[in-house]
Amino acid sequence: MVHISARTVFSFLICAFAAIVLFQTLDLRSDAALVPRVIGVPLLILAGFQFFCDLFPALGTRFSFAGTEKGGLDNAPGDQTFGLKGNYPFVAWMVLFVLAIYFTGVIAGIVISFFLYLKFLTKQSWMLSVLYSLLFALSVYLIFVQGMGVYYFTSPVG
Amino acid sequence: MELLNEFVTLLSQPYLMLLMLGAVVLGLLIGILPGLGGSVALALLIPLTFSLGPDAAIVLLISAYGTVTYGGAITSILLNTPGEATAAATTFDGYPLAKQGKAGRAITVAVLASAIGGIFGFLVLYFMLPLARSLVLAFTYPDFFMLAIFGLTVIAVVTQGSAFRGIVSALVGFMLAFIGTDPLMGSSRFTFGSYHLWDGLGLVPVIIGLFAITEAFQLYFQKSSIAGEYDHEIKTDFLEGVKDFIHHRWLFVRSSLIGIFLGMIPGVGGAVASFMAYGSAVQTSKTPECFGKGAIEGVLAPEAANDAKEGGAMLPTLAFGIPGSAAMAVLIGGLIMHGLTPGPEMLTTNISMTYFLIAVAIVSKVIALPVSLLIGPRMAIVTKIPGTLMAPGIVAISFVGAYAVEGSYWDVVIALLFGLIGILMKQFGYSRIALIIALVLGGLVEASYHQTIAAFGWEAFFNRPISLTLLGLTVLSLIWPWLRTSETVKRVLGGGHGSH
Repeated sequence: MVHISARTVFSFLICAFAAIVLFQTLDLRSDAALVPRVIGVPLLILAGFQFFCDLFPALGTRFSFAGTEKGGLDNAPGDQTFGLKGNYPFVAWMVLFVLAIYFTGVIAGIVISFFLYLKFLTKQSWMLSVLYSLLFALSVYLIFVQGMGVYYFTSPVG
Repeated sequence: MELLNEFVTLLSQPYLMLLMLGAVVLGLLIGILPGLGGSVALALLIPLTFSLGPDAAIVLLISAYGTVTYGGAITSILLNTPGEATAAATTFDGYPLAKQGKAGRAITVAVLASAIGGIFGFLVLYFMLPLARSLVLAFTYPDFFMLAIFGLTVIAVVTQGSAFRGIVSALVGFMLAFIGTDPLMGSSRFTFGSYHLWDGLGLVPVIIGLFAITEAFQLYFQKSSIAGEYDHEIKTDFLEGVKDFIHHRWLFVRSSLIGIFLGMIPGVGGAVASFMAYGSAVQTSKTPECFGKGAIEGVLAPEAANDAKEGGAMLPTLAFGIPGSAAMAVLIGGLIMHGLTPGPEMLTTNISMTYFLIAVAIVSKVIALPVSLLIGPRMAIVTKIPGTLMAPGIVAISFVGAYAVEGSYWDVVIALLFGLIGILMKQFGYSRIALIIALVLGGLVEASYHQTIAAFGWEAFFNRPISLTLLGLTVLSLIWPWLRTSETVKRVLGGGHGSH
């Protein structure tokens, strides 16, 4: 029976990465492509095997060293209590933070993203949200911009 | 003599000593914060070194890295919460001692064992350097190739989690290392048309993503603070701690030697060293029944091993450029940023820098001792801060650090991307350590492969004794996870029925 989960998707992505990189070696000179091919072919085989074991749990149980979510021989199943599921707002916030740095620069990006995180994601008080955001941004400014002379903390598009 | 000169150089520069003091406090704080270990400490501090000279950068990185373990020991004893896996064994007896009102004594012994164990480890490293130098000069291209492959195989196989996925992680790390320009003609390779990738993936943003952002996510994930209630007014009794230490001096020496030896083996790391030292302390004790209930030996042994292993781990890192752990991979990144390439040069042309590094490590251990005893227990209060408040701070420092290294916004994106990859790797049991070490070693592997073919031909991999030995060890370490579960091997090793 086919089993599609986040784990299956992740092992598929590793396979896809190996396949794309191997495909790219076709455009390279043979000596420049040699070592990447030597590494890429076993990666594609092993990652493909892992993918099929994840996709077909019966296969994963048969070859338990590759691992299934049930675990098996020499197979720690990873941290099952930990994961993206249910924590997408935090991931979205990190993406927003990176975008804020792009459009407003590092210091303003910290103030904006910290405030949004504290006030709306973790529902802190106004006082804590404002003070924490400003104090953190001020510390970064003093250490990096004033202390170390980093001049490029402005927005790349600003 | 050379080491003495470096001590004098270091101690005569107040600026470096002040920097060391600050780094020690930072290292202690990072060690106390849950989940943030030596590798994260180094990854977050590297951006702070870019405006410093190589000597000041070494002072900042080595001093902070060396003090992280002290912080982990303090939270293990006071809160039953190790900052990272390397301090886990200290909780077994440290926390029971704290519950008996002997937290001060336990912390004193832990910090003393860490400090003197660390110094012992670096002194052993110093005395082993001449031997390492002879060894490294006997190595040539095929040997370096095989050594890198062997080191990585061991890391992939023994690292926590599935050996199979450890190997997959290492291969992914290699492929990532090939992004950029090829070493033969300098033409672009796997850049997908992006000029940002011409120089390859920056080591620091990748490390920050895989380790710091993943740990920040973990803090957010657990939401609450880790700290329960504990006595904030801990009185550390230095004299009593010294008395305990002297009483168990042979246990200290044995544990330190275990740490140094295991530190030299790639991938084994501090967690294994401290657990093995703890196990050895139980086995050789006249009162093994006291362990787990508050035996001071149960604090001394893992802490001595955990810090002594640093000296051992530096040997393959400095002599061969082969990092044995994530922290050593990060350190290599930091040293390269300052024009110091770990490998044979660190034992020949840059030998004075190697001695300076050892001097810094030893002096910082001495400075960290009173600092940890005086302010360490009070700093444990930071564990009261909820994870949801610490997480954005760590993410912000990560992004700022990634940006500051080269002033490239692209590095912030890389840090975020690898942060997400790190979260998924952790969730599904892939090895982040194997990936990062392969990323560091990829260039060496490819360059030494081409150099071998050009200079000696492919047969050099199989007709040189060093290469051949390393190849044999690589094959053995690859098949070991499956061998050790084989009934036949179990019978041979166990000498009996061997099913358990």
